[in-house]
Amino acid sequence: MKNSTRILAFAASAALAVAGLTGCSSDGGNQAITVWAMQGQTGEVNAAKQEVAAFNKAHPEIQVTLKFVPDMGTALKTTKVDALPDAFEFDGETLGALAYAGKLAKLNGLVADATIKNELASIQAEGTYSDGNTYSVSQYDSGLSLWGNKAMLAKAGVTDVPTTPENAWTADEFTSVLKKVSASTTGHKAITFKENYGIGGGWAGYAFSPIVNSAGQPLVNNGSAVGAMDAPEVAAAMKTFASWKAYSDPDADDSAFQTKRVALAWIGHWAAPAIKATVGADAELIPLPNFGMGTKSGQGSHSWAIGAKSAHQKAAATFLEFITQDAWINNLTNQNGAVPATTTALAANADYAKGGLLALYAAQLAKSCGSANPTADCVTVPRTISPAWPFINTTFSQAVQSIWDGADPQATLTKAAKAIDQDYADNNGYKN
Amino acid sequence: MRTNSVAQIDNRQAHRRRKTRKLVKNLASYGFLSLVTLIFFAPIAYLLIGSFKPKNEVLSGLGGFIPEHLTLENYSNVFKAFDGEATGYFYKFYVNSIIVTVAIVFGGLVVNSMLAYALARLRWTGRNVILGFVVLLVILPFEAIAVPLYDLLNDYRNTLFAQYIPFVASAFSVFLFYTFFIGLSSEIQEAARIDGAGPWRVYFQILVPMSRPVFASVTILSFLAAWNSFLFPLMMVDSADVRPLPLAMTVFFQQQQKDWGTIFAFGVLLILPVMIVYLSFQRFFIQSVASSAVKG
Amino acid sequence: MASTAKAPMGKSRKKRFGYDQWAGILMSLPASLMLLLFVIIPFVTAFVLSFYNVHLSSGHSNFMGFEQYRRILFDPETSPAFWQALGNNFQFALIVVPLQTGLAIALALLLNQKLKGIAFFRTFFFMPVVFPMSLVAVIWSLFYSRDLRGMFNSLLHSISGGAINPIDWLGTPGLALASIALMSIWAGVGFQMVIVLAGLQEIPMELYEAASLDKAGKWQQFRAVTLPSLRNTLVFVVIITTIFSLRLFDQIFILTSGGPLGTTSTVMYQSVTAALTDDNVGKGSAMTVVFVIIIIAITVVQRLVLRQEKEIK
Repeated sequence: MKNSTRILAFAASAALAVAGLTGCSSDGGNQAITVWAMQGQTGEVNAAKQEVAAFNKAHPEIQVTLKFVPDMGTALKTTKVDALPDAFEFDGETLGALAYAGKLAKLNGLVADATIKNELASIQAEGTYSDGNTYSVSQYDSGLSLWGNKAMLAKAGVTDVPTTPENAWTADEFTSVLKKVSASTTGHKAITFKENYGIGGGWAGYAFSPIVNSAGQPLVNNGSAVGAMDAPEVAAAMKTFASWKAYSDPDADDSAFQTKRVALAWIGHWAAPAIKATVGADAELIPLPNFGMGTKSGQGSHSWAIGAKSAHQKAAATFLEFITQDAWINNLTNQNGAVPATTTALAANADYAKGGLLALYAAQLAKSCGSANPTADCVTVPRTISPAWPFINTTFSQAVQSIWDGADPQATLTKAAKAIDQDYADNNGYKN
Repeated sequence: MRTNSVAQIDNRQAHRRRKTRKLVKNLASYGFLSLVTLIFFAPIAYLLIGSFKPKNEVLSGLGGFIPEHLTLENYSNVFKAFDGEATGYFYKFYVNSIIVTVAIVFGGLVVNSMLAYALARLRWTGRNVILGFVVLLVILPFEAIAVPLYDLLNDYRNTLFAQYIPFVASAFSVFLFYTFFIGLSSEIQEAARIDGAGPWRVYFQILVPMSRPVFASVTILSFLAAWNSFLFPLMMVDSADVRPLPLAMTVFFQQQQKDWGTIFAFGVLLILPVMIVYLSFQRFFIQSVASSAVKG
Repeated sequence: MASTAKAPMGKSRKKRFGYDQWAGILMSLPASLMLLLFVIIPFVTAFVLSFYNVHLSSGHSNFMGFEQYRRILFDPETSPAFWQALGNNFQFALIVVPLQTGLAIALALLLNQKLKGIAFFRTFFFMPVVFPMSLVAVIWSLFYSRDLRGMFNSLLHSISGGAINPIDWLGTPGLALASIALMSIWAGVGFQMVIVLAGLQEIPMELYEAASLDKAGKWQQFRAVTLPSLRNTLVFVVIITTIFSLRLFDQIFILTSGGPLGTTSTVMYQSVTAALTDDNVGKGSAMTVVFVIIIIAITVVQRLVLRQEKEIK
């Protein structure tokens, strides 16, 4: 009895040793890697499961163990680099902080060039840290604009509805549109700004920073927010924005537009499937209003990276190459309504072709401002790629919330800008 | 005869009047009590009813109280969201929460009551220093030390151990035990000591049996705190294998489109064990919470 | 311990008076050690960190001296936020402590009647206490929804026949903190209530009988007998409620994120978000240290005042 257990144990450990040896001998040998995905919408969760199952079938030499994490932001922040998984999904806006913390592996030379080059320009910009290296790839980008309900707008007498970035409503025109629409609805609310997401909790950093950009400024210019975020033209734009609160449905049930309570919605692509299903043919995309420097929009969404200390970086790269194939991207974006992140997948999708329902998103993303300051010629602006972004995001978002709640725009923005500059100074400009 | 019967009638009438007055008074009392009950129960009823309503009907003003179009879909959504190794299993979150809670509660009963006994009934050098610290620590909010504590326990990330060990010793529990022990008559203990019983025997054979109420109230209060623990697991746990229930609930807050129905269903499942314990032992439950505090 | 039998007279007398060096140390050791390790050391660490700038995600840090404290307390740009938060803490305590204590007494008196089925009502009054604050806040966030689909707005609307327009309960400065307070009172009053109830039941009936012989009315009885007898209980209730309201965090984190215009921001909220959201551990730690010093000061003052009162009596 005793003997046989000992022999068994010996045999087992020998087998393990052999397995370990083969794993080391060739990098393409049997490898087990761990992948963390964000536990978001049901469609996204299903897509991730399907990708992993297909990958494990297609690559028997690499076995992926998939783990879903509900709050990825906190998990990545609090996990030390050597405990990170081999590959993980994260909110693209935190790339700067993660790269600065040394938690991400450089993807240049690791992930095939063809994969990186096929990604949208906006995605490549989002994945590039200030050291010039690429640290992430993505399956989808985001689209931000207005949705309009044609029937309700027509009923309110709003006829000339812009559908391309070039002829966006000016802020003043938009004010009169809101006025007309609210006069024709029962609750006198015209629009949802998705206040239910929590303006001060980071929603403003994505959804309302285009107001700053459309006024002609970046949030932060060369490591300084003073003179950019708090420029007088930005304060004026924010004042106009705050005046729209009177027309805003709080949207606590998250379906003000879908249930046709309001004719307009300031929202991202993720609502598209639900809107298609409810508002249907009456729904159309409208560019965000122009505050002077042309309409601007947000970009960037979930990204994928490889752990800096992963022992199986090559295998992890194979996984990233696999999931950024058009077939898998389509499988995912069909479920979550996001914009496919590769040029080929986008080109093949009728929704984004000229005249398609979501064509505006593609038109906006084709004109990425990159990390340069916004000009009249570009539309989408990535979130500031800096370790300071989490702080910029909360500070700016809270400032927008305060302005929304009635605070003086200029004073509020100046205070926020100074706080951001102080954060840069405290961290020595976030130079490593 | 006549006067007599009048008196009798008067008496009977007075009696009846008194009875009616009492009845009216009681009815008024019941009416008022019911009204207050209604106010207290309203949010709970809202949760319960909402958890069975279609998700787009949960938020509908007073309509949220009307139980119509009831469905089990929200509950099945909760289970569907946790259906495999990758997402973790719902039952596992229950098990994790139970293990962590039990460890905190029972570990806490032993170590905190012993410390309180040593502080309240034994004389030894260092006693006053420790008593001073305990009083100070009662007021220290956990949030104040969360970040350094997370750093300290980082090697034990993703373990159940890290989720209970910092909370076993609790200054608040020690304080509750201490005030109770101080309030107990010391005669029996002194007598036992004179008869030669050591401090350990006094503790186990006399003090513990005498102090059931305070043990019960500390059990309940630490149970509630442990069961609802959120901030520290948020920082320490990413693995579904050791994820406790309240943390699993955040899954439904991460989604862009908040599904109140499913969130409410999860809420009901989260509170269910506590409710069962509470309703089964409610008399005992309430009395024990009160009994230790009143000595303070 | 084996030597006890041979111990000289002096030592055994000492023992009779309860001198137990070893038992004392051994029994206190587990909890003391854990408190030291998991509470005191982290707090001392927080104290040390408050002199640094620490970036949470990366762990980068540099020494800053008293800079964090200067910014929190004195800097004309950055300190107003902290003082506002501290002010909110006190305002909240000022609303909640008297209201919750008063309501607890009222409810306890209501339950202290000799009626059949009183336990049934007691069960419901106490029920909110067993709910986690996170769940309570989720439910109430739907009650407070700013439009007509919010329960309160819907209620007011139908009671007033449509005359009352929807109110932005959590988005109006001056109202938001009161809304949070109302919710907190609902969630917490049961706890104070049972403590008061237990206190009520310990008051000897003879005191009331004596009072009613003196022809004292109900109200007079309450003032002359009930309140004085409850004194110790109420002191406990007030202290506990004060500490809990100064720690205010969960409700704010879930419902308002400190808004609108910072009117619901609290010290604990700012401290936690500084560290976890803004990656600024040093700032969060410094706030914590200041806050703990303030709480200690309050507790000491409360003690002194109460002791004085006792001496006067």
